Amino acid sequence: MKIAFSRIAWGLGLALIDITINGFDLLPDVVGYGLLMAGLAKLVSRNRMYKLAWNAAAVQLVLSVLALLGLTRSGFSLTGGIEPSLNALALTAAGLAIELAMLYGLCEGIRLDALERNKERLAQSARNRRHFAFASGAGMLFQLPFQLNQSLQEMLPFVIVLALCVLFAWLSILALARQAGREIAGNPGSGGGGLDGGEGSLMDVRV
Amino acid sequence: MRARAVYLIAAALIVASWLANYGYYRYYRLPEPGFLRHYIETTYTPSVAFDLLYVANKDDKRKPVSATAEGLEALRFYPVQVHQELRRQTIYALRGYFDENRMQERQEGEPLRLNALKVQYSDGSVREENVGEIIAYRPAWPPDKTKEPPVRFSSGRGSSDNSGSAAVTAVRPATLSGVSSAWLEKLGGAFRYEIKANDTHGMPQQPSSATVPLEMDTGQMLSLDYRFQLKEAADVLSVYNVQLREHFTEPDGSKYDYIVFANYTPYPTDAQMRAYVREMRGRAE
Repeated sequence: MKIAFSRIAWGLGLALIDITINGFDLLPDVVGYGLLMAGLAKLVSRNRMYKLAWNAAAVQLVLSVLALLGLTRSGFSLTGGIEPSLNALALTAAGLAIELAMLYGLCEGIRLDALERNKERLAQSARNRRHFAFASGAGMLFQLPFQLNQSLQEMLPFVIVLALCVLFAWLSILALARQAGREIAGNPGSGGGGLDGGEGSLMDVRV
Repeated sequence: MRARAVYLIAAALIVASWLANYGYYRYYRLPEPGFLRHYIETTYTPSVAFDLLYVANKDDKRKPVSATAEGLEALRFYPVQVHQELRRQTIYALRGYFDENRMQERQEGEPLRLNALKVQYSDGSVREENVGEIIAYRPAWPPDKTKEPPVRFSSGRGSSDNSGSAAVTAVRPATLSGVSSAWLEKLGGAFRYEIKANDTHGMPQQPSSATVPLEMDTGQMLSLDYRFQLKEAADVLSVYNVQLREHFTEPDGSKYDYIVFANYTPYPTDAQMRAYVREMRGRAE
């Protein structure tokens, strides 16, 4: 199971990082969401929150394939000086809402898993990060439509703070996935793992 | 239970934010793109003719590319330019000129009055558009250059606050009998002008504001200061090309008109554009 969380952590990282050269994405989000789905696939039977995260990652994967093919384009530059169109804002909001559902499912899945193993601190950590991700994501979703009527320059400080919060929430959940990998799956002797018959541990050794 | 309530309230706020912002965004979109209202006086001789300003929502792809007017065969336009970008709308400018190569010999004719032009658009469509009122004065072409005018240009000034002035110096004695323009009556209090006369040494005469008729000696300077003071929302986005004609009469009775060009080109604020959209919306409903 540890490898599942490892894939989730790598998936979150790759989906988060965008390195583009001449418009070509060197680390396409497809890879990130693919890894996330692969990791979550091993967990979906454990509780329905992982299933929610898997479904959301699947939608994101489809959207990122469409983006890779140039059929959709969500997101916009904060510094490009171009006012985002209604379509760009709507697509960005839709992507963010799906992302929130994915992060919610992942955090809640880890929390339920942790409670099952009496990992109170991990459960608390998952709960806090879920709240933070929700608050920053909801704040972003709330402010996005204001850009239809206000100039981006006027809202820039507010948008940058929210964007940094979303980034930090994402990174904190990435760290949570790694922590869950260690505490839920990595330590069968302390009541943490062994639910997959030690398969995860063996795979971890191979990794 | 409390967490669910928080999620529901957050979701309701997000939905309300989107609905309110989208409603506001839709409301301040122009119901239809179109030309601003133009009040133009122009002279049908090779020169700059007039600008046509066209306002469209930012995502509107169709733009005017040219226009033709019956009776002004030499009228041509430069490629369309962006005049001003606003929050939701773009104002484009079609810059017109009278092409000398297309001018045909003619006698002086009655002024031509136009309300509509045939406009060609970037999507290939052609539509007759009401642009306001255009008065084109049609002097004889080619012009008679045998007689020198009694006054010559001395200095001129135009300012972004829609004011300006033009000064002339008399090269022969002449009497300024009046100043006229087709748009003075329409503009009313929204346009002010003042004539100031200097003596032959360039010193201001008393009182500072001169009245007509005004006799001018050789070397005497006369300036005409003007200022647009448009305040009404509908007027602020109108285009005015005013030709202030200074009517001079020489001692032998011959007459000469010196033209001072006073132009008002709108650069509206977002608030003024919103007021304009509201007015257009009111007209469309």
